[in-house]
Amino acid sequence: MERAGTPSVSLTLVKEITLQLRPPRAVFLPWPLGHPFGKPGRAEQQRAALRAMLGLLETADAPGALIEPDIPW
Amino acid sequence: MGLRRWKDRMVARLLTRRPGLVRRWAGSRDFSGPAGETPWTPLARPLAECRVALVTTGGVHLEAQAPFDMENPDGDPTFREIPADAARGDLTITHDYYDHRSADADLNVVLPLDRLGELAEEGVIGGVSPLHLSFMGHIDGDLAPRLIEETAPEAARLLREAGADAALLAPA
Repeated sequence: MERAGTPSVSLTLVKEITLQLRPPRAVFLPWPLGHPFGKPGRAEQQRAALRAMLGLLETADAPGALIEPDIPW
Repeated sequence: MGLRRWKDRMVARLLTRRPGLVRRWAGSRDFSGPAGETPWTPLARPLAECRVALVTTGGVHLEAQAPFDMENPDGDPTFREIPADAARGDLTITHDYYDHRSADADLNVVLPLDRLGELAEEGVIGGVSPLHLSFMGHIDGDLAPRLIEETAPEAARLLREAGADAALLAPA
């Protein structure tokens, strides 16, 4: 993606994998597998996860950026 | 359904309930990518002018598209093109390696197209990419190099051609 010229940000539910793989930008959320954007029907929670990813696109300035936003489960 | 597919689904349910098992499994495996610098492309324009694409590994596809291969134990390295305007009722999930009952109830849990549309309406982003991509995140053995060398470059090219300025990648 990045090599083709498209900036990307990855959401991750398993920090151990992300620390090994070192994607360009990553947002870690400590949520159960199968729930990267949160719970069904919780639009505000889903939007918060998206906003965290979009925010990192704007703020990250070097490869390997990893943030852990505090979004309640 | 065969015994193996049933077992895969039961394991997936267990892993959703027991995050400690997931961490132990992840710590015991080598997920390091190809050696060298992490590739990097800066955002070319303000977010409010960017068209944003979603990329999921949640096994989402249109009912009319071929489902992902659940028979090969190494998985399936292909992807499906999801148009932004796909009717939600036409989208389904084929993926035995995570518990997708929550995503079945609300697709936004893995592919938040509705939420992305709302952020575009609010002006947070410039727009929703007309094209989004869906993989099936269980890819192992000989299929992993195929994903890296063939499928991923093709996926990246398609998103560029669709006019996406940024991609949000999410596992399931």
